[in-house]
Amino acid sequence: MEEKHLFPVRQAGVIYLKNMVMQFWQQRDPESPIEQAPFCIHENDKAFIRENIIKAMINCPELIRVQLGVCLSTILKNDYPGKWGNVVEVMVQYLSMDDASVWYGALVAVHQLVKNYEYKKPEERGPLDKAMTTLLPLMYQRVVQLLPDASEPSILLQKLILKIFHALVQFHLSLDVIDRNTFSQWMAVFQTIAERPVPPETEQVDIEDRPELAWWKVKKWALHILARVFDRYGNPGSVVKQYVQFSDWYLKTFSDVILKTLLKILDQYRQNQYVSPRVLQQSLNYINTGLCHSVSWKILKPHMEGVIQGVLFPLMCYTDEDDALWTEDPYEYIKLKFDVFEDFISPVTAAQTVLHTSCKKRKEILPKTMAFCMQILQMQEVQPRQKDGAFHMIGTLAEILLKKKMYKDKMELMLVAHVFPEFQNPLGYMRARANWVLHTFSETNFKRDENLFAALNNTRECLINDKELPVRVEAAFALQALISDSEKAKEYVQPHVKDIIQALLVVIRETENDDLTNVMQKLIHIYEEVVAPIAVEITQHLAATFTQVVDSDDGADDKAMTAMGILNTIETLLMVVEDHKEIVLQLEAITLQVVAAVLQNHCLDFYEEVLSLIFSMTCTHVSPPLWQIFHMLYNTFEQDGFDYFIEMMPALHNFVTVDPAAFVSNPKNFEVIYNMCKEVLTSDADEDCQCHAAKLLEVVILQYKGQINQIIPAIVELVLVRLTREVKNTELRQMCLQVIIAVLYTDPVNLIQLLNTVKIPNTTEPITKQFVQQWLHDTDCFLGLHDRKMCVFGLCRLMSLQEKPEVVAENSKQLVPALLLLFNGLKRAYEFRASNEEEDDEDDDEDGDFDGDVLESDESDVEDQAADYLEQLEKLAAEVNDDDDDEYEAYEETALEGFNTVIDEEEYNEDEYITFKHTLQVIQASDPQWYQALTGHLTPEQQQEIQEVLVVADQRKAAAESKMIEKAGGYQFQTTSVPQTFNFGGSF
Amino acid sequence: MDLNLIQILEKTVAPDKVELDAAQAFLESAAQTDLPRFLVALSGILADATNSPVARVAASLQLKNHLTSKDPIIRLQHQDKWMKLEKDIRLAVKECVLRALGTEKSRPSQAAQCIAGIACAELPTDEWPELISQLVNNVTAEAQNKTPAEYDDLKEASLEAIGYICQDIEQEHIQKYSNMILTAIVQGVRKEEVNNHVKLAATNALLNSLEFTKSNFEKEVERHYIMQVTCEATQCKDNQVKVAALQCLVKIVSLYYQYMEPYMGPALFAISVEAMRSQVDEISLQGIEFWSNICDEEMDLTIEKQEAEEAGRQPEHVSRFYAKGALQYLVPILLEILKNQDENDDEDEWNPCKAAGVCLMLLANCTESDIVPHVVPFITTHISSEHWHDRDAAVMAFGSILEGPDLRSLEPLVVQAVPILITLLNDPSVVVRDTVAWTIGRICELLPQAIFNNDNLNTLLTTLQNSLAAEPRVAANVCWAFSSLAENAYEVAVTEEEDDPPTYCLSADFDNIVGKLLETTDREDAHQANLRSAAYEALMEMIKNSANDCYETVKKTTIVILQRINQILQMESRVQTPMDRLQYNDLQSLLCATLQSVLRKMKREDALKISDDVMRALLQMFNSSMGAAGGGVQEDAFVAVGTLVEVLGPEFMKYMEHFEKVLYNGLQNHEEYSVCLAAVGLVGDLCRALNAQILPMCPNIMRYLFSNLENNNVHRTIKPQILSVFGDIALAIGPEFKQFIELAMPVLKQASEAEVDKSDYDNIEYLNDLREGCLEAYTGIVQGLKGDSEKEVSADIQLIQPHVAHIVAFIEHIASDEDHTDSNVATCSGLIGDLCCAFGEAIVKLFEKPKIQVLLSEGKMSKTKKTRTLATWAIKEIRKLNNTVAQ
Repeated sequence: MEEKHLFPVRQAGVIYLKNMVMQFWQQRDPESPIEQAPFCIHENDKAFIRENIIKAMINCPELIRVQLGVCLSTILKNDYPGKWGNVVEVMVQYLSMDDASVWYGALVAVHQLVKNYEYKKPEERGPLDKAMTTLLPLMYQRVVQLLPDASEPSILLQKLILKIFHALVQFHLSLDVIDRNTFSQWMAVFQTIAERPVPPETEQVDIEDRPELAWWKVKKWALHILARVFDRYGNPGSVVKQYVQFSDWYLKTFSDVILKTLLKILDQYRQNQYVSPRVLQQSLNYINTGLCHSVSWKILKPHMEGVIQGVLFPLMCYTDEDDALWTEDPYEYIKLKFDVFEDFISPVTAAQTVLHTSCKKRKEILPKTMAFCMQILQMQEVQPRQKDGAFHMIGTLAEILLKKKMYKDKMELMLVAHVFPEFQNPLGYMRARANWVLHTFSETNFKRDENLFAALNNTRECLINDKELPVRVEAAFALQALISDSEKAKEYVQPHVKDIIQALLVVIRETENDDLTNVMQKLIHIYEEVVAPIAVEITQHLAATFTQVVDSDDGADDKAMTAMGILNTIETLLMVVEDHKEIVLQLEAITLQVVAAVLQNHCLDFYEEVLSLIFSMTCTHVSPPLWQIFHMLYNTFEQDGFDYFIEMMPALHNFVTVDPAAFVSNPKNFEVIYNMCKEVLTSDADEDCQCHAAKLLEVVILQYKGQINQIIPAIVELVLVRLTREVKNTELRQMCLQVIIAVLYTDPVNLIQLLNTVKIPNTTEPITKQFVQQWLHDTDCFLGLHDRKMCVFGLCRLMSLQEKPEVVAENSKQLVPALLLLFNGLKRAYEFRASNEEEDDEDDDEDGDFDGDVLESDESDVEDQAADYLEQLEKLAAEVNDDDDDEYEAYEETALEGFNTVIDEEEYNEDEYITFKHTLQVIQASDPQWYQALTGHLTPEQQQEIQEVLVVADQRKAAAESKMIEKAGGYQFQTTSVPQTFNFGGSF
Repeated sequence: MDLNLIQILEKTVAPDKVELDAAQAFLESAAQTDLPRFLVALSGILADATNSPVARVAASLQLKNHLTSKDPIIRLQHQDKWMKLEKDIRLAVKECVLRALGTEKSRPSQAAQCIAGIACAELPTDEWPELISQLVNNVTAEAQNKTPAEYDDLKEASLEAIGYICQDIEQEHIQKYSNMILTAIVQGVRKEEVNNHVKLAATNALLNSLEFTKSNFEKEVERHYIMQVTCEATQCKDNQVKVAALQCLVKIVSLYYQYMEPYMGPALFAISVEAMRSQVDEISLQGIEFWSNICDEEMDLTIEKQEAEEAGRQPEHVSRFYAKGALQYLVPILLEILKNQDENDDEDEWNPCKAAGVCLMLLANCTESDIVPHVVPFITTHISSEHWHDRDAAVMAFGSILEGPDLRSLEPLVVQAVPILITLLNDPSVVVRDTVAWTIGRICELLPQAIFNNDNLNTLLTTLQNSLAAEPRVAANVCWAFSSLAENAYEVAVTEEEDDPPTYCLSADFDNIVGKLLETTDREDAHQANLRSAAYEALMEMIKNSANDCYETVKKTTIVILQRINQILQMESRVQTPMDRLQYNDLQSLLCATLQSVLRKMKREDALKISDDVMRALLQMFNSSMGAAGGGVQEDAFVAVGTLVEVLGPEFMKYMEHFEKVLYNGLQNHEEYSVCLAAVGLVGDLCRALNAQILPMCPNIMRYLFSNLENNNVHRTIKPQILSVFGDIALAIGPEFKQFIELAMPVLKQASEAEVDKSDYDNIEYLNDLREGCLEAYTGIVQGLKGDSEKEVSADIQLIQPHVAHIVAFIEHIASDEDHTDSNVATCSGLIGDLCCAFGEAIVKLFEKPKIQVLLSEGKMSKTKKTRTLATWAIKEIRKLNNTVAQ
């Protein structure tokens, strides 16, 4: 750290230090008591480092400071406030010095401290708040002191202070640390920074580099804070309860001064002075929030027209940068325009948002804006770029325009008069814009068919024949949107579907854009019949593109997104051709190559999609090549471990249940399933994963009743052993019990023998007894439909055993009440399922309550006023609706029961209610003593409940018979001739 | 007197009118002077077998007429009078009528009817406990001193008596005798009984007893036996018995569907099928009816099953799908029966052919697509047959299965059939044409898309127009087809509910169709087959569902209708008979309704041009329809004026001078409550249209409205309407309403405190209407007194101040009533918001009550947009005030 060493040496040293600190600062426990504790930096050394690091940071060059900052962060994470409570004092000490040269390093240290708490919950921020009570006033003092100094070092210090402030308040504003007075002081600082001019010499710097200048960056942070604070704490209605009063105060106190500052910034932009994009963007964000409140709107109102025409409009016009990118790198142009992250920082997006909000919320704005746009479109000598801006604005407002009576009927004429001609424009960006506008207006209700058809022809022509890629991309979106929104459009385009899809495939391959794969999926759905015959071709194309994308994979997220999009598209195709067996087989062959490639090359990124693909391919049948995939899955499991077991589960479930005959024909298949489940259940995989494994075993046992007797003992043992280990989750315990219940259900006698003979390590009590006791203890953990059903079946089998284990007899009084509890739950589960199905059927009849959003000028958004009344109302309503049933709802369906077993199938021949009734009847007739033991102690209410269950049993039986009759084509009448005598066995 | 009385009684059948009148007068006076003696004497004559049959029958008739009546009120009066007679008198009469049983020479037994009359009066209070056992004894015990023939007569008459009692009496009073009764009946029905008269009486009694012998049907053994004897009776050689027994089965299958399985397969199926095939119409009808009832039951069961599924429950009863299983046997028989049409069809006569058509429709509804393959071959082979019977049956079969089967499976069939049907509209047989027109009407109603997507639409429209000139019964069906077409064509074309579509698929023919329909209403024979009203109905539907490019026709039609109204008003002098009057009034009503439908479509400027004529005609109509039987016309005329008011707005004021009196007359017409209701509704329309201009009339209007509210003879449905009109008046005249406050507020308070017996659904609905009326009145009054000024609330609002607490309590009361409607919630919310605006901070505390807050949040989550908007607004207003209070 000493300056005498050469810089590269010092740099190497600090990097080594960083690595050491990051790895070995934290004290870790040994993995087992026998092993030695892992290496850790010695406490003495730690103390030394703590003592010196801040000083070092102050004195060292920037490149070393960065590394030390990382060290400091790790150290603070571990030792503050515990072992290093006095670090704050050190920081205070440096910041109090009059020597400005020490401030920077000290502030970097403060920044590390604050950053450690940036994302923490308010209740965990105590130590930070404590530190800030002394640090913050100091920082304020320094920043005020620095303000008049426009030199670069001073500006950099100011910037750092603002960054610290931002990190301090961006997720939580502690009103204790920052009272109203302090807050006002800081706001004055931000306002000053935002408003003050940048030094004239900055204009010498190249325009592309200007945003990186400290003078602009400090402004950016000031605006960043302002926009954030307003949105999160000063925005009445959307703030959380604790800031309600604060937000009212904020709005009244700061709206005027801040908005005027921002309007000044915008005015600079309007007068062609340079304003950095992020400053512009944040200013617009602030204004966007201000539009919704009457206080701020009153200030904005007189300026709004100027802002729209002088700021938003130029922002939305095609620019030189756009043009440069368009010509030099159209691929990058497309990428940028569809990049969601770009939207977070782009002033263009901010401009769109402000335009949309102001036209939606404030009624006088829309007519003025539209008049302005139309004026531009109708000008004789208009610049194409200005026209582009006008189109951009109109398209942004499409959603609003199409809902307003005054405009919606005129939009068709606007499109015909102004947009359609642009398709012939030699300028590529104008053609792209024309497509984009049609996209935004796709919901237009075209009164004249020929206009709709012209729109379709234009977009289709662009998609198929345009020479410029961005135009084709926009055309693809527009065409699909138009088709999706109109039945007529769908029919009209039908003859060209093949060309369109092929063109789209090419565009996808060239751009590798993931939004376009969405377009493809939608088109495939719309034109199922047309697509089916060319599905093979499409899939081949997609598979090739997939390979291309994956081969060129440079780890970029968007590539992965595209590859996934392609896999999804293939899945869609498979669904579309479902009914054409021979096509399905061909598609499968192509798809399987893709799947195999992914699995064999361990492309983990695509496992989820590939597993989902395997699942879709196995939903109705399992072709021979797919059985190979099954074994390939096993290999993947063996190699990549159980991390993907839950994702594999749907596919495995299909393999087990879809073609039982094929599954059973290869004994290896059982082995694979058993081995996987064993691996999961004996490992330290998380319990959810283990639940899935247990479920899979249950499915197998029920599905292959009588066919897998040889592996049943192994399964039972596996599960019992798992039960003896610690179980945190009742669900896992219940699932394990359920596996054994499934065995009991399919083969009661054998199970009891098994339980009597099996040896489980670490237990002494008889297994049967433990199992039954645990089960009865846990009957209330059986939830949902399937689990409760299984539990009922199991208990019925248990009660009917010829030779009852002692433990059953001992617990005779618990059996029937447990069953009644289950039946109660079943009743709710059936009702719940029915109500869910009904909800799905219900259409969402939300009508476009659009004018309701428009605000009068003296009115604020509904939430403007104190939000607590509304909250109170909602709470009250919630309490009222909160009947006893509600708390149960969560239990009426379990996630795992989605994996159907044979007993869940509609045609299954055993019904839990009927089985219960039958069981009771048989016991009553054959073993009255046992019957007495089971039912003798029941209360009258319980007797009543049994009767109700028995009535339901009869009704279910009748309903089942009725269904059989219906299926058989109605009641079968045998004789058509009237009998000679009638005797129905009765006499009077 | 007895001897004298016998002679008098014998004269009640005298051919000489003088003698007859004298006899009647005598009998009436006898009953007046000494009813007890008169009744005893009559019963004595009836009981004495030596008297002439004529005298006995007449005596029993007289007796019966003093015991019972078809009119329920008179019957109650008779029973009341009877129960007030001395016990001895009643005993004497009862003894006589019982003695008369089985001694009468005529059928059916009059004594049995007298016994039933007395039983209905006495059994409810247990005054004649031994009767049933005595009757039963007559049937089951071997009579000591009677010949077998006499014994049979006694049995028959006793069973008849039992049958009448079962038919007339409330079930609860006879339930306890059900075992005894059933024993007697079954004794008579069973096949060992050889006397068909006895058997018929027993079977009829069985039919009447089925409802209250539920407990016997629940017992398997008893049910088996009842079913056995009933089935046996269906095989009786006597057709009357056979029909009666089949009627029993028809009823049993409805009442006890769930128990039928053991009998359906082995017996009922075969019995019913055999009955359907019978050449005897009455028997065949019962066979068909049996299956119609099965369909009804099974459709109900399907609904029950769906409801249970939606709730995740099990249905209590389930279908056995007999209809579905029997289709293959039933459909061919029914189709054959369809061929037995009667060429000179009398509309009122029910015959197997018509019943078969209905049964086929029910089967289609019940078995849905399953029926199609059973019917289609019949249609294809017969539709071009040279025999009209076959063609008609084919078309009928086709029309009958249009509802029920899956629409997609039907559509291609229909598309294929339309050209054939068009040709058949010109079939030489009127029966076929009638059925074809009906079938086309059904297609228009049920599967309009098959017509709109059909290349033959134009041909069809032309042919239909021509067919308006066909026989009335054909033309009436064509009218119906036009009604459905218009409605569906409009629905297909309209994009949003608010505007008419610019054009639609009927536009090209619209003018012609309307013209033809107008011609049709004028046809000489339009009174036949309901043609005139069908044509007017079609006209109205066409106008109502017209596109923008049909407007010229609409305007033209208005003129025609107006001319017709004037014409008909001049014809009044020619009305002579009550029949004439009825037709005349009907026509006026139809024209009024048509006038409304055209006015509703008219643009304001066009309406203004003709409004003088319209109003003149309507005023004349009011004058001519005053008095007898004019109620319907008055009501229609008021509604028509309402439409005019709506269209004209404030311009209507110029007519008030002449109309005022008519309105007052209407408001006072509580004998015909629909007229009064229409007049009250019109007051609301006038308020909205005239606003403050209505002020001078208000004192009168309010006077009539108040007096209606106080009058208990005024039909209750009018009252909520009146309350709501208070609100309209207050809104119209604003603070001027203060002159009525003192009268109105107590009335509203009283109405808002009304409670009803909630076990009856109608009452709940009425209560909600009443409350809605009160709420609307309060809303109007608060808004009215507050004044129009946005900035300043008029001081008159203070008049409401003393009532605010009650109003809020009323809202709270509604909030806690779980039966309140969504509309109640909306109006409450609106009223809350208005109260906030009117009274400001002073009132906001009152709304802090949890029930009111729950009500508002219910409104916020309502499915209706209006309710959501009002609730949100009220919440906003409350919050605004809360904020000012807080600051």
